[in-house]
Parts: sequence; C-alpha cells; structure tokens
Amino acid sequence: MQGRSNAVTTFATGCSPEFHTGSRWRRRDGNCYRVHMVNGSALRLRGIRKNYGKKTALDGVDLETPRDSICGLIGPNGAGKTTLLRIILDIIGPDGGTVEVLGTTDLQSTRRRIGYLPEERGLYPKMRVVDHLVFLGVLKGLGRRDSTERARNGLEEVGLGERARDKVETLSKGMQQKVQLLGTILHEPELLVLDEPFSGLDPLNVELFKRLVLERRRTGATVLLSTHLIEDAERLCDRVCMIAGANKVLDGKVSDLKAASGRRDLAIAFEGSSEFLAAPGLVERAADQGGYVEVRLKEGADPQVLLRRALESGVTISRFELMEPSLREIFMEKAKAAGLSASDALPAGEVDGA
Amino acid sequence: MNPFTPSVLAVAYREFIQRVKTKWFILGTIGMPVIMVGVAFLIVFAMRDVEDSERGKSIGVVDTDGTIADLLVEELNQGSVTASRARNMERLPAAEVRERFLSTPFDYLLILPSGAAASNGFTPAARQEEAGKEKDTNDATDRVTATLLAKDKVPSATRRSARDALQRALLQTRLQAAGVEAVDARDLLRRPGLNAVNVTETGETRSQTLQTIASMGIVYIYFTLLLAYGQMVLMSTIEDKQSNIVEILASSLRPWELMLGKILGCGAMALAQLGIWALMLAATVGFVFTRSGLASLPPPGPVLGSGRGPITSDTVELTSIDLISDSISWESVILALLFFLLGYLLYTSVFAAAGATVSDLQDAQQAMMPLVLVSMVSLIAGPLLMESPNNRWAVILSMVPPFNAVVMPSRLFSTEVPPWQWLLSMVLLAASVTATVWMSGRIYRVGILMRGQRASLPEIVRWVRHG
Repeated sequence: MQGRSNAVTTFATGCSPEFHTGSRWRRRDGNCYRVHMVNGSALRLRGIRKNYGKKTALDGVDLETPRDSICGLIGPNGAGKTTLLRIILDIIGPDGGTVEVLGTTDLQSTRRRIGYLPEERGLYPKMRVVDHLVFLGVLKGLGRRDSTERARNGLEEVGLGERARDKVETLSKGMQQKVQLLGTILHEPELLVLDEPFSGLDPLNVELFKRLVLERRRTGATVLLSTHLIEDAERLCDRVCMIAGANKVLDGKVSDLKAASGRRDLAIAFEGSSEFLAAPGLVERAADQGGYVEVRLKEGADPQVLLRRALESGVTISRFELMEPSLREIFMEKAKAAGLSASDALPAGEVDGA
Repeated sequence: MNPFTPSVLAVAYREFIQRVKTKWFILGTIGMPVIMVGVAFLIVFAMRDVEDSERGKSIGVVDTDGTIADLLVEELNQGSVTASRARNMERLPAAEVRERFLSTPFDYLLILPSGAAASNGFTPAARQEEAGKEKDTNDATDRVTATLLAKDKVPSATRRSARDALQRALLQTRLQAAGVEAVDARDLLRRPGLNAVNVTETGETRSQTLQTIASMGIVYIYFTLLLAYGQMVLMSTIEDKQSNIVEILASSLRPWELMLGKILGCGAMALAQLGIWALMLAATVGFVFTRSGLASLPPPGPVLGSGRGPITSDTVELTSIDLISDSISWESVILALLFFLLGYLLYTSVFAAAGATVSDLQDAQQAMMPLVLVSMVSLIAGPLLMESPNNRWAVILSMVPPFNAVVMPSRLFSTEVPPWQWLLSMVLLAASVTATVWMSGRIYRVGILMRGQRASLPEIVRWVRHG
C-alpha cells in the first residue's frame, strides 16, 4: 500500500507530503490514517491551531522533539501549554494542523505508550493504594497480575510499601503525590508528559520526581514537561519551547539557544578609573559599582577591543569574564522582540525574581 | 465496533468492586427490604393499637325522638366500643348538651337529629335546624346527619363503625315501620362479592386483582430503581471531577469508554442488588408458604368494625404460587426485564451526561430536577394504568420514550398488549437509547473536562453538534 500517499486525501489536515515518507496506510472507521514508521522524532506538531469560542489558545504552533530528550514547554499561565499537551494526548482535538506522536498520527494507538501527569491531579480517595495503581496500570494495557507486581515494587521503591493496603485518603499529600507519579510511569511509557510536575510538591518530592524522570529518560523515554519555572527547565531540559500569546516564541536545544544569543555580558573587576567604559561604539550599558562592573556589549562588538582599551587606559584588571546568558534573559529578550511585555511572557512573580 | 474494550471493563470492574465492597452496599441491600417490611409491620401494629385503645371506650347515644336509640345501642355494642343511652341528655337543647359533654363519663356522644327515623329523612324543621351545619357529601339534604361529639380526635375506623351502626339501625327501624318484620340488617347490607376475570382469546383466565397489584408495583419499582441508579452514575461522574482524576482517565481512554464503563459497573451492582432481593423475596415467600400459607399473613388493613361489618373490602385470595403464574405470564416478565434493561441504559446515559455538565453537588441537584420531573409523568400515570390499561393515553405513554420503559411493562402485566404495540415500543426505546448514548457521549466528552460553573443549555447543544 506504500507510495499512494498522493492519491488519497490525508486524514489529518495540512499534512505536507514530506512527512509521509516511510508511512503506511491503515483503514479504520472508514477513515484513512497514516501510521508512520519509527523515526527520530517523539513529537512532531505542525501548525496546531485551537480556539475556545472566540479566544485563540494556539495559533499555528510547530513543535518537534527528538526521542530520548527532555523538552521543556515554557510560558506563562494561560499561554496555551496545557491545551497543547491535551492535544498531544488526544484529550481534545486541534482545530487545525497535524499531530504525530511516537511516529504515528493515530493518536488512539499511542495512548498506552504515554504517561501523563496533569497539573490538576487526584486519586480516588476511597480506593486502596495498590488497587488504584493496578487500575491505572490496567487502563494502560497492563495485565492485572503484572500491574500488581509493578505497583508493589514501585511502592517499595518510594518507601510506601507498608501503605499499599491503606486507603488513598489516609495518605499524606506528599505520599499521594508519590502515588500519582508512580501511576504515571507504572507502564513504562515511551513518552512522559508532565504538566507543571513540581507545583505543589514538597522539596523532598521535587528531588524524587526529578530522579524518577531522569531515570525514565535513561531507559530511552522522551519527556515533555511544561512549567512556568524557567530555572527548572534550565536545569532539567535539553530542549525548551516557549509559548506565549498562543504562539511559539522560541524553540531549540538549550545549549544552542545560549550560543545563538551570543556572549555579550561581561563581568570586570578592576583598579583605576572607569573611563574606559565610555566607548560609544562598544558598550550598550554598564552597571559601575566602583571596582566591579557588569557590562552589556553592543551587538557585534568584540570584547577583546574593550579589554585592550581598558589596559591602555592604565587600569589593572583582576577579572575579565564573559558570562553565559541565563534562559530567563534569553526569554525576556525574545519576548520583547516578539512584541510581548515582560508580564505577558512570564508570570508576575517571575519577572523580577531571580 | 466492540464496545467492551479492556478499558471499559477496567472501569466497570472498578465501579462494581468499589460499590459492592462498601458497608453501605451491604446495609442498603439487606437493610432496605428489612426497613420496608418493618415499616409495613409498624403501620399494622399501630393500627391494631388504635383499635385496641378504642376497645372499651364508651359512647352515649342521644336520641331526642327516642325512636331508634335502643336499636342503635345494640348495633354499636357489636363493635368494639361500649354504648348506652344518655337519657339525661335527651331533653336538653343542643348547645347545653355540648357544654355538659365534657363532664360526662362518655368518651363519645352520638347525637341523632330529630325525625331521623322518618322514612323521608328529615322533617322540614329538622332540616332547617341542620342547615348551615357541616355537610360532607352532595345529597346531604336528603340524608340523616348525626353528630358525634368526642373528647379526643376520632379515629376514622370509629367514625366509620358508628356510621355503619347508625345505617343498620335506621334501616331496621324504617323497614319495621313499613311493616317488614324481623330483618337482619347486617345480612341485608352485606356487599356481594364480584370476581373480575379476564378471558383472553387463548382461553386463559387471569385474576385482575393480582394484575392490578403487579402493574402498579412495577411502575413504582421501575421508577424508583431507574432514578436511583441514574443518580448513582451521575454521582460517579461528579466524583471523577471532584477528585481531579478525570484528566488522567481522559488521557488513558476515550470518554465514551469511561461513560459506558460506569454504566456497566453500576448496572452490575444493580443486578447484584436485585439478585439478592429476589433471593430474599423467594426465601420469604417459600418460608411463608411452607409454614402456613399466605392467608395467615396479617391482614393488609385491619380496621375497627369493618372486619365484622357488612362492608368488607375485596380481599386478595393468595392461595398458591400457581395463581401468580396464572395471572402473569412468563413472556411478560421477560419482556418487562428487557424494557428495564433498555430503560436503564437510557436513564443512566442521560444522567451521566447531566453529571458531566456540572462540577458540584448543588448544581447536580438542579441538573437532575428536569429529569426527575419528566420521569414523574410515568409515576403519575400509574393510577390511570391501573384503572384502564388500554386507555388511549396509557397506550401513547407506553409507546413514547422515556415513559414507555416504565409504562409498557406495567401494561404488559395488566392487560393483553398486542404484539405490534410492545414491538414498536421496544424499537422506539432501543432507537432512543442509541441516540441518547451517542448524544450523551458527546456531552460527556467535552463536559468531563469542564470545571467550575455548570454548562448552559446552548453550550451543551454546541457540544452535541460539534463534539
């Protein structure tokens, strides 16, 4: 059935032909679905649009995430992150665009290969802990016995082995969080989707969550996590994608983003006069603190020229360091460039804070 | 498409186990019939107690004419009260009789109007005197109205037996006046029995009394169960929302799978419950039959006097199970169960959709109101059906969903329903189940992810149209 992709209308709208190389057809419910062969991407979204009434939640968002990576989805609350996640999970359908998850556009078939931890998460309070985990496992296609075994092992691992037969409602909030995460990874998903995974967690659980997430990644899973905490994303993620105002503002590997933004910030410690900073073609702004100054160079300016100029002016340099930009700085810049105010791009508490 | 996917079964299994394992299931399943039987017995015993406390009470008869007082005392004494003439009151004006009543030893005082024994009822004077007094029925002008003074509330049984005694006394007096000697008024007034028996084309005969009980009972039972189980599915949907688990579920299975799983799980629980009740009923009936036969059960409404009086109620003569199976055919039982299953699917899917449109219990109450009101129609139709199951309204109600789920089984038990009628009714019901499940599935799909305010009707319509 291969090689007919041009003859039949694609089921997913707007799918460009080059995506269909190596795909085969499957007929189901009278519709044509493309089932893609395994390729390098865990996620491939093209031109995703979603409206809620008159409000545009997503306006043509593209996203591509390679396998074995941890991708951070960043943006302020209400930016459309959760909507995007729900579309990937086939909880809601997009108004336009194509979604390819784990190499297929038949999202129905991928459900069992995905683990999802929503932001609003809960458990049935009256169920026994182990029964609850088994229920979640069975929903993900595990056998009852297999699911029970995994649940017991998982509970032992996070120190809740003793509580397996207790009702969920008797557990502390932190314990329930552990059970929730266990329920998400019980079936060893290939794709782990976490929506604000660290919100509301106690510090010990944050560390546990990070450890378990990294462990899943080591075994070959792809992780997509949404967060409004840029520092979390910076520490955990290989890649980040920023959504603001229903659009993607930034996307790529963290290291590439940092490299691309250029090293334009300098920390200089010196003795002598700060006159050398008065170089109109070189320095954009400088925060002189008397003996220590943080300098932002103009675009394209060479830091070596400034160093030479300083030495020529007779000051003694004890430190001259090119500083790596933080993700936060990069985002602020991009957001500004995209015409968004800082408060649009980042949640209120995040703009001024560290 | 196979609707019983592993996900559906997993949800159904969870619903079933979680419901059956609770204390409330055990208490409710065993407790409900016990409570119902208990209440029935309580009423019976309370009525008996009323009867006992009336026994030994005294009633004085005031007859200004003195024409029927002795006969009346005799008749009254055959009941449970002790009657005697209050001669010292007979010459007093009515107002003074009332004043002095409280100081007499009598519990009741039965005051006859003057001229009561006259064959034409009242003398004109008495009629004038009585005018303006309490009259309880239409042709009050032509009948004798006596007054019963009481120191406490008069139980209806006492009032009835006093009236019956008066009627007998009057009859005897008037007959004697007309020259008929030595009549037994009791015998004269005994109401004849009438057995209504249906003769069908196949030659079967059926007891109508049992049919009436079954057709009425089925309306109440179906109505109660459909609403109760519908409500259960609704609450279960809200529980998912309130415990915040619904999004995890939504990412693991399709919304219709969740809905169907809930309906099946609750249905399995319902079947378990009904099964236990059926066993309990069978055990009880078996026990009663082997021990003593149904006839020795306490009478349904033991009433003072009436048991002995000439006016006896039609009593159901339950003598054997054969009678039950003669009156109600097995085909109609099976059809009734089929209607119940379809009705269950219809009601629970509508309730599930209603549950998906709200997020908390208060809103749920409001969402349920219209559903309950609509289903009330079939409950209100109950008496109509009992009276005349082939009335055109009964026929219409037994065709139109959602009423037919309740009304058709009721008709099946009480009359011979032409096959085309129940067939058409079932097809219509099945079609509406299909449409409702589809529609509810679409509402469910969007609704379960909604939070906060309940969805408005236009919103819900949009969900159905655009999914």
